[in-house]
Amino acid sequence: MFTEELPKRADIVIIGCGVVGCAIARELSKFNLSVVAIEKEPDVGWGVTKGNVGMVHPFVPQFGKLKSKMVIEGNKKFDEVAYELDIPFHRFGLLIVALLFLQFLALIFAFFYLKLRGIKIKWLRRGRLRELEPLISRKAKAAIFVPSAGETDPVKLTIAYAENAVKNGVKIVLNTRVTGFEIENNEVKAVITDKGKIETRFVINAAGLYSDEIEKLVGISDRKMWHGKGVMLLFDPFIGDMYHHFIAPMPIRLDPRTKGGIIGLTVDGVPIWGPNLVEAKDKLDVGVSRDDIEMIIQKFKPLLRFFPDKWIMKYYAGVRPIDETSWDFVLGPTNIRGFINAAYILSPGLTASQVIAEKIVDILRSEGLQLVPKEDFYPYRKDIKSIRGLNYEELDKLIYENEMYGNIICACNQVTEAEIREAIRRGARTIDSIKFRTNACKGRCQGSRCLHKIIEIMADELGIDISKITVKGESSEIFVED
Amino acid sequence: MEEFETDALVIGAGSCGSYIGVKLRERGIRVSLVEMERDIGGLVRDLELYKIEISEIPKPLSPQDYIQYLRTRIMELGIPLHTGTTIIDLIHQQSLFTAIGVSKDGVKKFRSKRVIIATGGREINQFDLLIMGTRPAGIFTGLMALRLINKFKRKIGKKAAIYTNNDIGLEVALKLSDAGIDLVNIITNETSSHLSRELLDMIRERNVDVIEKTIIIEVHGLKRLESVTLRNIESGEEEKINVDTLAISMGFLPDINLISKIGVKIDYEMKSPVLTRYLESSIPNLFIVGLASKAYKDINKAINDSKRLLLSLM
Ligand SMILES: Cc1cc2nc3c(=O)[nH]c(=O)nc-3n(C[C@H](O)[C@H](O)[C@H](O)COP(=O)(O)OP(=O)(O)OC[C@H]3O[C@@H](n4cnc5c(N)ncnc54)[C@H](O)[C@@H]3O)c2cc1C
Repeated sequence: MFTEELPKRADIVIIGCGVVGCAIARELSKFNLSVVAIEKEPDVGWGVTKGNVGMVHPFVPQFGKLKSKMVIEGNKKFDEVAYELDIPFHRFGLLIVALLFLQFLALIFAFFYLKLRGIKIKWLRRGRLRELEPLISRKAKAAIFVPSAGETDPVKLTIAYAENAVKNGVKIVLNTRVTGFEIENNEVKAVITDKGKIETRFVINAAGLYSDEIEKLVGISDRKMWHGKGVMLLFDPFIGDMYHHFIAPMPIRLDPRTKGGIIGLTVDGVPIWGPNLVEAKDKLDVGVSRDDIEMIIQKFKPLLRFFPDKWIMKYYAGVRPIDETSWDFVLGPTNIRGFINAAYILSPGLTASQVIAEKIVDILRSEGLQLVPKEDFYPYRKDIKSIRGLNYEELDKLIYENEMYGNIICACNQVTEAEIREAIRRGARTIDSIKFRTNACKGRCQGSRCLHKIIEIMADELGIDISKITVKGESSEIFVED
Repeated sequence: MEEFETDALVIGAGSCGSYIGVKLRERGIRVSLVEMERDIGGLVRDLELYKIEISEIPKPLSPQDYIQYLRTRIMELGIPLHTGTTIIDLIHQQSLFTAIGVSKDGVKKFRSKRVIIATGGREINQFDLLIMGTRPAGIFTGLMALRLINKFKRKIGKKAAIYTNNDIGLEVALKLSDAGIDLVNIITNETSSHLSRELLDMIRERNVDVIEKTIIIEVHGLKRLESVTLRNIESGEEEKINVDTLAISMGFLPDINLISKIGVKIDYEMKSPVLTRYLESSIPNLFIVGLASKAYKDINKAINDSKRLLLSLM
């Protein structure tokens, strides 16, 4: 599926295989072009994309920005994207709830404001709100219901974009880091990496958290990046039926920095709370502290009458790349000819990814790139077949055809040997890659009962020694040698 | 799709499930055992020094001898044993249970009047203990660390610390040390008086410090573990130790995968199913025994407690 060999030249080089880079790769694969996407990590989607909530936002409050326009369009397009790429997507709907009188006043204001902006919303009185969410706080006075808010799996979406791009001819080069450029007369000539050089006329900077460093490599330094850390809390799926929508408290002051987080559910029915927003020490600061956890619980727990917050299953953090002055996406050409930014993609970059990709194609066209549609572009991609949701007859038949579907490896999430082997055939080379593709190790035991089996299957399928097996790429080996 | 019928279906043939299966059969009840692994024994399979102590067996047995004893009894009594079969669903209809199993031979349906869930526990992990920081490689639960060493005969790190409050953790420590891993510290949140003298002596012989009344509050490292921060629960003093491996052996929580699906009442505080004295759940004729029934530190206690079930079925 993916490669580590860098081609000698390409029409376009995309730097970074996050959700944005991969969406662009797929969009460009609709045309007769040679496209190469370069990623420093051993898999796609491990940057900002990994530390994401997965919410397909209906809007962001700061209207007038690029991101506000793109998020609305992106939300509308999501059904089609999810259908073509066979990724999980549910429109749970969002409830913005007022508990205090002040919030209630703000809610009324917000209702008319959003209506004016043409967002599809409904006013819910207390009674109707309680019908929808029986465990909502008794203090809840009213809510705005936004039906279009949805949830997807950010890394699965990225993998799906990447797989479909590869199917349509894009080369995705992993474990390769961009370290410089060849520039002549203010024009891009080649991209230099730790695996050699690739000649090209066009470069897309989709390096997420590192898009500022890529800019510096071509000599652009007019922006400053602010690193905004966000922590997410996941709870045991056992309590996944305590609420059924995204729920957020009505903010009294519109903080321009963030939408303020939500309580929600992942596509696998796991309660997810967050994120918060704190300044990260640096790009690598993904540590979670007690303060983060308390901040999140204190903020969201009052929304519900009852929630057993002891059932924390996991927590993790992501860092948002934020252009300090605009707090907006940075899209478009630069004063270096051929160097195009899809950079500083903060939230809601996941929701907007498809729209960003289409915009980049438009920009390339106006920069003089010939775009001839490919006649045989194939827009569909199928996810790895899992046994979840099958009825017993179908399951029995599936096992008859492939007995590895009868060998359950991850008991928490019912992941079979067949799925793990298929994930490896599709390019998974680390334990985390298998986890993101199959959900193995993502359950309540966090791999403490199946890690040894996954190691064994990987070594067998790849024909490698177990000393080569890593959790998340080089330097994260499970076994050490003397 | 094969179908099977029995009077008591025991799900999970670990140290408790197999034992209960044998005891029920000895009392004349028709039982079947279902196990997801290829062999019986469950969590104790990887232990050697641990001693199984059950009142009717005169002397303590090693886990291997205990499993052998169970295996022999299952054979002698002719108890149907379905290994390599994972129950993914349990349906309760008109006082009859149907359990759906997945195996390489296809889907299996088991019908039974009574079901005993003995699916065991899962080890308490980094997140259950709210250990803060990052999520690097090199952090294992104790029995997983042991299994990796036993199965692959390789070292899982260079320098290790063990976080434990029980003897299983001490055995994990000794095995890691035997495998050539430099054992730096044993960290326990209690005092060492709860722990086996014998094992503690073996550990001290290897010049390993046991740090008492101390918890681990944070782990550091992005790819592989680099260090852990400890805090003394009395003085509040903090200390950072450099290790690339942490084995956490802090007891078990019930495996609620199956029971949460079928609507058994679960105690939110205890993270365990609500059970009667005789281990019957909120669904009549559905029993839960062993590590699946409540949070245990110790496996022996779980086996011995499971006998209460026999009183009700007499
Ligand atoms: C806590 C949090 C929660 C969020 N929640 C949501 C949400 O609910 N909904 C939503 O729509 N958005 C959300 N976002 C925003 C969203 O995650 C981002 O906008 C999006 O993932 C950005 O994708 P990207 O592809 O630009 O960046 P990335 O995913 O970071 O991709 C960039 C890639 O470039 C690679 N790279 C960097 N430098 C180099 C180099 N020199 N050579 C080669 N490769 C390189 C990186 O390894 C990385 O894989 C959230 C973000 C955070 C942090």
